[in-house]
Amino acid sequence: MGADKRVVVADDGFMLFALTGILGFLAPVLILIALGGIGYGIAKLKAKLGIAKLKARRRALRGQSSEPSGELPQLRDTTAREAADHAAGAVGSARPSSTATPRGPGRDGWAIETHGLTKWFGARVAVDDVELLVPRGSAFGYLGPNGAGKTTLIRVLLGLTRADGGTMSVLGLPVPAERGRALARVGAIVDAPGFHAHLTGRENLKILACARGGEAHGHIGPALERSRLTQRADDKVSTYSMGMRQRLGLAACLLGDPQLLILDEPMNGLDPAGMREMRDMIRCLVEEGRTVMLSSHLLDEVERTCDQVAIVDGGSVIRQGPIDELIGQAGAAVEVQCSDPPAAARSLGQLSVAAGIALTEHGLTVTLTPGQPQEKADEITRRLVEAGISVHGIRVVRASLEDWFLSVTSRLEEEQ
Amino acid sequence: MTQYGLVAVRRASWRPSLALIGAKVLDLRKRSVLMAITVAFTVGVPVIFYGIREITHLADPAHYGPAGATSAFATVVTLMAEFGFILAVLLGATAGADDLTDGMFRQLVITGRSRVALFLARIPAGLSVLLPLAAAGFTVTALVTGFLNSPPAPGEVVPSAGALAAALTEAGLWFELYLVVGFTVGLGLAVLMGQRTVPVVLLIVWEIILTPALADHVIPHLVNVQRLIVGVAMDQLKPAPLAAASVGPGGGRFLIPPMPTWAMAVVIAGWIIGWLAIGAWRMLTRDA
Repeated sequence: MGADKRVVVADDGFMLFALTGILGFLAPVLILIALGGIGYGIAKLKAKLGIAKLKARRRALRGQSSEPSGELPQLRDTTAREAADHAAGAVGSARPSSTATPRGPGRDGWAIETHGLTKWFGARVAVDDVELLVPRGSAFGYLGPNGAGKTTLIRVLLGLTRADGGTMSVLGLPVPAERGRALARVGAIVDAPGFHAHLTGRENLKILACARGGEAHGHIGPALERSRLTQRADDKVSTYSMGMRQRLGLAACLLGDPQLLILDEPMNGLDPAGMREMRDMIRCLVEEGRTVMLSSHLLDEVERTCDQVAIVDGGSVIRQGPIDELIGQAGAAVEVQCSDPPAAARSLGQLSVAAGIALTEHGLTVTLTPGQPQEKADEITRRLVEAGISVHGIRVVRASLEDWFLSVTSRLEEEQ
Repeated sequence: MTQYGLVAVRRASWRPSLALIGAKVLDLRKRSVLMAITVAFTVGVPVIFYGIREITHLADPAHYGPAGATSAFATVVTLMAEFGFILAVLLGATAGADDLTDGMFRQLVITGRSRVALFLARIPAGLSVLLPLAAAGFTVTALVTGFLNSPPAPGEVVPSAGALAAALTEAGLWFELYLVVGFTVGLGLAVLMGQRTVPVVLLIVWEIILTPALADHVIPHLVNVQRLIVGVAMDQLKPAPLAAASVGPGGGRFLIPPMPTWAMAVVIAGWIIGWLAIGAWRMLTRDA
């Protein structure tokens, strides 16, 4: 009745059968593995060749940038952006390493630390020799234009994709060696957070809590409350708006009571009120002693939210440091409305605080040297009054993060 | 070791926790369309089949035998196996790829949980949805066969209750094994391809069209390769009462010369383990 009653045909031979059978089954698997190995080897070789080319290019650029520019600000139509441009140039180089000084790592080291981190996609470098230091207990902005490599760096940090070179640590733990331990205290949103649309928000969090283990289940309620989703927690995610999904993503981040939150474009899809709420929440999380690293191309939001920033372009970090310090380097300008602009320009030309003077339709604009713009504006006012020039109005124009960012990235484009 | 350390060690483990398996069960169970198909293909098939037979028998007993005739048992189990295989592939592919297609996989990886554990959790989760319902469907079949069978003809040797139970158990285990094969192959292929629809279509084509085409005739010098087709191994492992369900020169079986039981076991285990290994490897190496 069963298979045991079947007559076994022995003419093929058990050994022959076994050998051909095993080899026959294994052959496709072995071929797949061999093809994969060859492909991987070729990709590695390409990456190495690419890295060699890149290093050569970088050496060449560094050689160029070490030469002094010799240019000083000229008398020209100066805007705040140009003031920032000037300051960025004064800082230095074509593709410098980080120039500003990140605040110290704190007692427990850096929240994120990378050295020479590199990631290739074929022949294109997405993360290029990144040296990044994110201090603990701060809001850190990772800024860059679209395609600059922000999301790729985050994916590498989180172990979502492998790095091709360099070292990194998260919360003091080397990654990927101790990835599991490191990520136990990390919450992250990468791109738009995805959820099972057929489940409710609470059920999705339950699944993630199961994956996290520990006390994550106990954090579901508070996380929903904090994300203002309690009322809709038992509705299916398919009925959620983009902003609500973003908030659910944030709730998912909070399940593990994270020391570090990595948020990739967290303001995407949020209306102005939602952006403000997100900003407030980030600040609140930082005040609780957590570290928040967010990537964004919304410079205004980053300027309002973050303490420190790193600027990334073409996969490389080109500047990093506290925002105040970086913008401070960019300097400022003073717009003056007065009775005799040409005379005022001649008078102010002797002042050490003026890096450049430009006549405008209603007066003149004075580009200031870096540091303490208000004091320098006062000095300008005094000098004009002493020279007998009537001052109708004077206004300090500070460079914004956006001005500084655009000046730095556009400078790099020109140099490339 | 600190509490933090304990949590971390457990999270790095490749073994899936019960909670993780439960989470996957929740995900599958809440897919209402999938669950409806599961119930229909497992319990619905024998209920409808026997229902129609019973109605026709009651309407015209002279022409239609009772629902639980022995020949009907073989037919319905074969039918359930065909539907069940498709269902198993669908469930396996869903369990394997829904996290990827919904964007949830990335979130799960970010928790720091081992990717192997994430993969392995899908196996008991999917099977715990599939097998109990399949068993329920088979139980319906067994009960109908046991209680709504035709009375023995004069002189007919009636098998003992023990022999009948053994035959039913053998058929039931074969049926469940067939579904396990479908599930694991569907799971592995879906994880490999990162999607659900194409693997389901491919495996249905494989099972319904390619396997019969490749196994219905002996190809000279390639008979051992033909024996590596899992459908052939399952067909040869099929208990004799089930093989009687279909007609043909092979007595209900493909025409490949029989292979020893251990060889069938190797082929079937090879397919299960091989596809699970491929799925686990892809899960480990996939960019999230």
